Amino acid sequence: MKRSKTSFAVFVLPAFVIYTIFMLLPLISSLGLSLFSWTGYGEKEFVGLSNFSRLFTENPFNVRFFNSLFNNMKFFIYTIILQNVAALVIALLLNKELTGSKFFRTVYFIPTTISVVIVGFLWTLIYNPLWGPLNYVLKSVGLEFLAKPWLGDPKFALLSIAVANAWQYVGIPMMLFLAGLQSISQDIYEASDIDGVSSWQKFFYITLPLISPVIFIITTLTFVGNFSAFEIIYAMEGTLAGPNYSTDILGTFFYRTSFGQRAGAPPDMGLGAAIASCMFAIIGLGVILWFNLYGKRENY
Amino acid sequence: MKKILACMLIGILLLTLFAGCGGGKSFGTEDKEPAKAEQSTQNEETKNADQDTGKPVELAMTSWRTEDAEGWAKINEAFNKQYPNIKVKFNPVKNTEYDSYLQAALTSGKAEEIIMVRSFDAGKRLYDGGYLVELNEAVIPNLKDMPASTKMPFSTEDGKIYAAPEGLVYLGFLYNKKIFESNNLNKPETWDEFFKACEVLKSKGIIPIAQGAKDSWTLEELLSGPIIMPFVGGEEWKQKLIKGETDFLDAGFVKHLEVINKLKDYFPEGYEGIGYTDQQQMFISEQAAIYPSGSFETFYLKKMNPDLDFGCFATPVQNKGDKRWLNANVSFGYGINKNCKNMDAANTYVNWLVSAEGAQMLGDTVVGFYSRHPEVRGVADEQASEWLTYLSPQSDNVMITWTYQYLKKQQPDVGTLTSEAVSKMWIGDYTPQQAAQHIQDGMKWFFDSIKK
Repeated sequence: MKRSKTSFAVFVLPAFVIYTIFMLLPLISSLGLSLFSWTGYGEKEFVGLSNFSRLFTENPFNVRFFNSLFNNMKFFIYTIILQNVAALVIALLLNKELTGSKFFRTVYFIPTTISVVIVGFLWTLIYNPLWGPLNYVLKSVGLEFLAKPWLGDPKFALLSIAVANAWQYVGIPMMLFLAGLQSISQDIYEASDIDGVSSWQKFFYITLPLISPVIFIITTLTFVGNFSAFEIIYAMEGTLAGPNYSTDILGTFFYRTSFGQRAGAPPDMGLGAAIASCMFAIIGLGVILWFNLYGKRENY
Repeated sequence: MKKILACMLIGILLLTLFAGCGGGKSFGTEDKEPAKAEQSTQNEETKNADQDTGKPVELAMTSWRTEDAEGWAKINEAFNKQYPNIKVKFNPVKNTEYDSYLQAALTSGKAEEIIMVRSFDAGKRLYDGGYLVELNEAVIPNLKDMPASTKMPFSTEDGKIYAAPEGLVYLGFLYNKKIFESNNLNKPETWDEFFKACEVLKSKGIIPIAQGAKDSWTLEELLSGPIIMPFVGGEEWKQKLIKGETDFLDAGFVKHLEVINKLKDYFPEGYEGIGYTDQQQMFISEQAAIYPSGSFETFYLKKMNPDLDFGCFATPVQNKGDKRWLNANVSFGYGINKNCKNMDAANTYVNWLVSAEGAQMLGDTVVGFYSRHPEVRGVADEQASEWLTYLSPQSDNVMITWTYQYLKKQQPDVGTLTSEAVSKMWIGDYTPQQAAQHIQDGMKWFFDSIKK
C-alpha cells in the first residue's frame, strides 16, 4: 500500500485535534492573558506589555523574578549532580550483575511511584529540627555542629529540597542509563582488555561516549522538568517558598502571583501569565539551544 | 479494498469524536433550558405558596468550613423549628477549592442562595463582581446590634455592607496549665511577667514558646496581630493608619517589633526550620508551655490530646492596669446571592443568624468561633469560653487584626512585608527600626493611594 499525503493527514488529525484543544489553545490563551490585568473575577482589562515591564523593572517583582530564576538554575545544577550523576553511578554498579542487582533495581525505582506530596511530607519530617531523624543521628554520632534547621536555613533549604527531589526521581535516569549501558557491545570491552586498557580509561573513553545520547536526553528532560517544577517546593515550603524566598523558583513565583496566597493580596492573573510566558520562553529557547549545540553531534 | 475499509473506519472514528463534542453541547443546553424553566415556575409557586399556604421553601448555604457540617446541621435545625416553612441545607466545599468553586458557580448562576463570605478583600471581590446584594438594617434589622468594627471587614469604602458579620476567632496565647502550676507561674498580665515566666521555664529545660519561623503567615497573624495592640493603642491606631494619619515608623509599631524580636530567645532550638504543624505538636505533646495562637485551635487540641489541660490569656500589657486589648480575626459573614429567588426567606434566615439567639448558637456549636453580638458572654465549651472573659463590659476592647483592611489590595501586601521584616530581624539582618522601615518602604503604594 502506498502512503499518500491524505492518509498521512487522516492519521495525524485525531491526535492533532486533541492536542490543539487541550494543549495548544490553552497555551496561546495563557500567552494572551499576559497582556491583560485580571484578578480572576469580573472584567479583564487590556494593559499591553505593562505586565512584562512590571516584571522586569518594578520592585519587588523584578527582585523576586531574578531571584527565582537564579534559584531555578541552582536547583538544576543540584539535580544534575545529586540525581543524574548518582543515577549513573548506581546504573554502573547494577550493570555489574552482582547478586541482588535486580532487587536493588526495583528498590531504587520505588520512590518514583510515590506521590510528591508524600515524599515532601516524609522529608519534612526527616529534616525536622525537633524530632527529625537526621539531626538525631548527627547528634548521636558526635557531629552536633552539622545539625541544622535544614528547611529553615536560607543556605541549605534549596539543597535539602533538591536531595529529596533527587531521592524520589533517581530511578528514571538510572533505568535509562542502565538500558544505555546494556546496549554497549561486550566486544569493545574485550578488545580493550587485549590492549591493556585500565578501568578508568574504559569508563571515560568507551562507556561515557557510547551513552552520550542517553546523557543528552536525560539532561534535556531534567532541564524541562526543573524549570517547570513546583510541587516539591510547594509541599515542603509552601507558596511563600521560604525561608526568605531562598527556595523560590519560577513555578512557585508563578503560582503565588496568579492564584494569590493565604490571606494575601488578590491574585494577579495577568502578571502570572507574564511569568508563565517567560518560563515558556526560557524552556523553549534553552531546549533549542541545547539541541543545536549537542543534538546534532551524533558521531562519537 | 483494504484502503476503503481503513478510510471507513477512520471516518467512523472521527464522526464519533465530533459527535461526542457537538452532542455534549447540545445535550447540555437541552438539559439546562427545561430545568431552568421548571425551576422558575417552581420558585414562583413556592413564593406564592410561602405567603399563602405556607409551603416549605428550601435554601442552601455554601461555606469552606467542611469541618463544621455537624454544627451547622444543629443550627439549621434550630432555625427550622422557629420557621417551619424555611429549610436550610449546608453545602460546604473544601477550603482550598472554595474560591474557585464559587467563581465557577456564580458565573454560571448555579451558586447557593446564601454564601459564606470571607472577610476583607477576598469577600469584597464577590460584591464588586456584582454577585451579592447590599444588606442594610431595612432588610436585616439585627445588623444594628453588631459593632461597627465587625461590619468594616464586609463593607465597601463608602460604607455599603455586603455580608452580615458573624464568625470571628480570638487570638492571643494558649498556655499549659500543668506546666505553669508545677513551676508556680501565673497567667502573666504584663510583658515583664511574661518574659520572667519564659526565663523560669527556660532555666528548667522546658521550651517556653512553641513558635517557629518556617510558616511565615504565623508571624503576621499569630504574633504581630495580637502583640501590636498594647504598644500602639489598639483599634484607634488602625483607623488612623488606614487614613494615613500615622505610619509604620510610629514608635509603638517599632516597639512591637522589638518585643517580637525578644521572643525568639525562648523558641526551641532550630526554630528556623519549625513550621505551624510542629508548633501545634509541641504544644499538644506538652513539650512547650506557651503557644501563640487562638480560639480556633480549641477543638483540634482537645481531640489530639484529651488530657491536655490548657487555658488562654490575651496579649499582656506594658504596665499593670493598662487597657487590655483582645485581638480578633474576622473569618466569615453571610452574603446573599443576587440571583436568589426567595429573597424574603434568605433575609429571614440571615437576620436570625445574627440575632442574639443565632449568635449564641454559633458560639455553642462551632467551638472556637464567636459572634460579636454583645449578648454573647459565654459559650458551652469551657476553654472557648475563657476567651470571652477578656471582653470588657462594654466590649470596646476588641481590635481586628491590623494587617487586613485596605493594606492588601496589591503586591507587596502588608502581611508579606511584615513576615519578611520579622524573619530578617530574627536572622539578624535587620534591627527593629530597619524592619519597620522595610514595611514602610514596601507600603509606598498604599500611602500614595491615600494622598490622591
